[in-house]
Amino acid sequence: MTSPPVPFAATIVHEQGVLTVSVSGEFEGANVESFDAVTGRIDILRPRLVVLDLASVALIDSAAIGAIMRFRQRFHELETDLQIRAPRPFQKRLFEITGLSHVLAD
Amino acid sequence: MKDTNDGPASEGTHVVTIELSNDLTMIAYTRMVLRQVLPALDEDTSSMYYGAVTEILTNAIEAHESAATSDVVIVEANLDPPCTISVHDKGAGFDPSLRLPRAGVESGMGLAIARSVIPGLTIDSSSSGTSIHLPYPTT
Repeated sequence: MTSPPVPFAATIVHEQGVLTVSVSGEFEGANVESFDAVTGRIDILRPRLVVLDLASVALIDSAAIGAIMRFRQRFHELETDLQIRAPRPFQKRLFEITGLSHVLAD
Repeated sequence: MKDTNDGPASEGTHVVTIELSNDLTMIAYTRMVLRQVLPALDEDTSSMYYGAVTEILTNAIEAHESAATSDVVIVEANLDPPCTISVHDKGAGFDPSLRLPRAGVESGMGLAIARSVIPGLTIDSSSSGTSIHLPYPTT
């Protein structure tokens, strides 16, 4: 029996100027609004570094990649450093397919 | 959801059919059902495959929205090896030879991702609808 999928969640930790957004579960079009709601105002915390951690994401679709790119663009415009961590092989492959592997942190 | 077995057991075709309302939130439910009825995959293969299925289902629902049809999207899982998932919509169709058939980065990118991830994906499209067949990974 296949275990049920982990529900989507996005959590934020702000510590010593580093703001980490950890996303888990299945990140798809139906959850983009939730992601935007959670992350929409975090720039008021004025972090020096933002980390978007996708390590616990089990599925990513193109709508989610679009949301990630809009998120990245916001901090680029604010001249705030952003690291996107997507360490799992399928995540790296998706970013490669979409020509976006350059946005990932090593 | 229907589970059909046409013909004698030795020759039967087991197909699970899901009629999907035009609602993006139903995609997660559909994925869950498909994962239950199809053979288990390793984590990365599952993430890639069902990510591609999500792209195709999203496109099908959006095609129905564009065509303002009340028809449902039909998802068929053929459970007999080699397993296949087929997605049928009654949208306006598109030219499958185009790499990005629909406008917009995300919706157009979805099919390109699915094609990259699923070798052997085939598309039948006309002005009365589209069927996309996604061969299931061999385990």
